[in-house]
Amino acid sequence: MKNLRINNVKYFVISLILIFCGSNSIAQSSFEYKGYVSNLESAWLQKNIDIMLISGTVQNRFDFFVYPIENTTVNVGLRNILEYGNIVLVTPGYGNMATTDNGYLNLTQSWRSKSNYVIYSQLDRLNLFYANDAFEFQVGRQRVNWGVNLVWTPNDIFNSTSFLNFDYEEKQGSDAIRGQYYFDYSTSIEFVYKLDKNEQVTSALMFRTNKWNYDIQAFAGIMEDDYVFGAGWAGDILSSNFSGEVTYFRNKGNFDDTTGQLVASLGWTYTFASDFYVHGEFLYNSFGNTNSYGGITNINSGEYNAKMLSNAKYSLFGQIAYQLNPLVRIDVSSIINTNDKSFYIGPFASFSISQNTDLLFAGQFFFGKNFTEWGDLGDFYFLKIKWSF
Amino acid sequence: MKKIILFALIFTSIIFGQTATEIVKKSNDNQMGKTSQGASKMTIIRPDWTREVEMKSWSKGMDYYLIYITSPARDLGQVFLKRKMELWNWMPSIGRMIKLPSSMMMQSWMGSDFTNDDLLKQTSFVEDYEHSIIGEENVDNYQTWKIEFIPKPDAAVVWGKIIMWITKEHYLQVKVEYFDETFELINTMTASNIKNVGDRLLPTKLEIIPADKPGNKTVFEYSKIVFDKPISDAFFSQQNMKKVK
Repeated sequence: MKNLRINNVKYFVISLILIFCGSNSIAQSSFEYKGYVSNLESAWLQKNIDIMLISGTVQNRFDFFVYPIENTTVNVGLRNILEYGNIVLVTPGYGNMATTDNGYLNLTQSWRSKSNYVIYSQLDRLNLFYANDAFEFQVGRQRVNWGVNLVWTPNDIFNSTSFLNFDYEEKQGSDAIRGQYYFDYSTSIEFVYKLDKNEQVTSALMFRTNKWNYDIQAFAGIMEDDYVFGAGWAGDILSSNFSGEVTYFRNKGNFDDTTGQLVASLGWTYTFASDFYVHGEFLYNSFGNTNSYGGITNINSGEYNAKMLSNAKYSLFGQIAYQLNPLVRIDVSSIINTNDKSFYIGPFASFSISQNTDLLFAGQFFFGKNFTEWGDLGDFYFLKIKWSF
Repeated sequence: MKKIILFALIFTSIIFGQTATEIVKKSNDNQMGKTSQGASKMTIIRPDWTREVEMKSWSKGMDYYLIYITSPARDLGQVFLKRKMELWNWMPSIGRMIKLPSSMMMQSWMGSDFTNDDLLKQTSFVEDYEHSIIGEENVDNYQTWKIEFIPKPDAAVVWGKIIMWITKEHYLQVKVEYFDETFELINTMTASNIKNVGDRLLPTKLEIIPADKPGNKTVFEYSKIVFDKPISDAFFSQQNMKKVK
């Protein structure tokens, strides 16, 4: 099977250009695209070390949509990325790490990797989507998003990502085959089969419905070495949104003599007429640590998954956002590990500076004792500018 | 004296065979159609800047609404669905369906002077208010009925009072004033560019002006609107949110 993998993104880009040119000449409306160029500058003040690391990321994203025949869409998401500065310089093997593709197909191409910068391209969406009246089918690299909550998503067994990783808005895709059949406007069954770079399989069958003004979902399947069973809901209580999700993991190899892992999160959201928005979440991880030295949660996409949303047994999230006017949004969020007492505070201020240009000032500040979940990370300051087209 | 005028007005409306509620209902039915589908542009105007949002929208009665954002580029492809009392937002870039709390309804629609409720119509001009004709006036050369709306006791509406001017010919809503619970004027909506849009006359430009913010307004213009073309209930589904464009 390995020889099926295409290890050079160039061929994809060339063949895609051919598809676009071809379809574009047939009908103007059968092709659409959108994208952006952004630059994130960051300063990292490490804890206990008197050095500031200055780094940056330039991203150029394209999303192409081709409609070759009726009911069919080809979606291609292409990212061109330049990362530079001190973090690249001081992290051994940064170039390799950044350009490792976690998918079954290697759709990431490094163009240049030097000691203090790396340039690469990645296709994080490359799929064919077909839908008729009641059925839809999607094959290729796609984002399968089963999460219900906004921060911690134990039901997102295919591609959970960390809330803290804000610069990659679209999040990574999964190489998967997906089919969904709709019985009515909200009741459906969905099947997904995903392969990752180590040919490990994550596959499950999901049932969704809407009852008593609640979206309800339940699934069963496998996630790499575990059997998984999960359920989630989202609905309205006193005009606020109340949602939750639970996933139970049980090792396939020792099904009889091991206990499973339970990961659950609860979420609550309310929007005031004055444009204040408050949001809270609670996370429980039965395998989490309760001692005062909980260990750091790896928030990098490769290692972050539904089983490891946090190393802590109990975590709390809180967020207050205020739309000052249509152009300015201020948002402060916090994550607290209630066991080791370490915590995160992130103030964000975003400005729409023209119809298509946004500016963001942000901080990610981490507090706590050494060797706690958040205590060793230090402080980050960010400035991001983004132009969308 | 007031009582006599009121009596006279009620009497007139009886003579003409129409109560205030009937006028409002007729006007609402004309404005909404059995179904509608169209394309529109909303411009948020402030003293120092403007922002535009373009969208396509579909509706069926009061219960079903679907809005697809076509501009700005940042929000292209976002879809909002309303089915009866429930709301969803599909964000295609992250492949995510979010169920929105009903408290969202009173929030501003994408930063404008319109609320989500103005666009997605969770409250009803007909069902949620008691109506009375309080005068007859000339607005932009149209003979109109001036109708007062007072919320019914159990209605979950945000306004304390609404005054609406409805033209006697064609039942067009040409001006609306929105008041808070203390009867202080909050917003004034004016409708213009009255055009023949296929089977009926309709204002194609709406302006909403907040009372206490000079220089602020939001303009809503239809570039295309079609009424009563059949749309199945299934169009307003989570599945279609992913397909519509």
